[in-house]
Amino acid sequence: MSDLAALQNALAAEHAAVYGYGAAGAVMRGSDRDYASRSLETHMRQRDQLITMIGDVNASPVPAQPAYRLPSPLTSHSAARDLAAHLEQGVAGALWDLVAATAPNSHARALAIGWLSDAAVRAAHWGTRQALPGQPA
Amino acid sequence: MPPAPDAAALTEARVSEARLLASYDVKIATLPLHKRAPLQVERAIHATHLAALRGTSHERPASRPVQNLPAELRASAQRLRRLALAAVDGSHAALLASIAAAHAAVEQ
Repeated sequence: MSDLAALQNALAAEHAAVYGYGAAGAVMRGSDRDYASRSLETHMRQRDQLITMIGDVNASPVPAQPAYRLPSPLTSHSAARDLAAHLEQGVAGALWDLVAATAPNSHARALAIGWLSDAAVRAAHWGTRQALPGQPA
Repeated sequence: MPPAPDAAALTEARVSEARLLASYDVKIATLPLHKRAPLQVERAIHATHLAALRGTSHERPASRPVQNLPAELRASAQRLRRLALAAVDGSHAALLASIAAAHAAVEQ
C-alpha cells in the first residue's frame, strides 16, 4: 500500500469515527458521554490533520459519506459503548497500515504511532482490549 | 552477510517482553488464586507479543524481573514507539507500534 493510499484509508476511518461517535455519544450518559465527546474532538482533529497531509501532496482527500451503516442498532448505552469500541478498532486497523506504509522517522509515521496507542487506550476504555491493536485479521 | 533489517530492534523488543513475562510470573505467584485472573490475562497479552516477535517462552531476560509493572509498561511503550519510528521494514514498524499501543492500553 502506498503512503497516500494509507493516508486516505486512515482519513476514511476517521470520517467513520466522527460520524459514529456523534451517534454513540447521543445515546450515552454521564462520564461515558463526556469521554465520547472528548474522543469525538480527537477524531475531528486527526481527520483535519490527515486532510492537510493529503492536500500537501496535491491529492484530493477522500470525502466523508453522507451516512454510515452501523454494525448494530443503537438501542442502549451498552450498544453505544460497543459501537465506540468498534470505531476505535477500525481506526487502529487503518493506523497499522499507515505505520507500515510510511517512511522511517517521518512525521506521518510518528503521528500514526501515537494515534494507534491512543486508539488502543480508548478501545480499552470501551471494554475491548486486543493483544495486537490494529493487526490485520 | 548484512544483518536482517531491524534485527537489533526486534531483539530489544523480545528481551523487553521476556522481562515483562518474568515480572508477571513473580507478581502472580505472590497472589492468592482468586486474585490472579486479571494479571494472567495481561500476561497472555505479553505472551502473544513475544510470539509475534518470534520469541519463545523459554527466552529469559538477563536482568531481574521488575517490581513496578505499571512503570515498566510505560517505559517499554516509549521504547517500542521509538523503535517503531526508526524501523526500516514497515511490517516491523507496525508490529512494534501495535505492541506499544497494547502496553499503553494495559497500563490504563
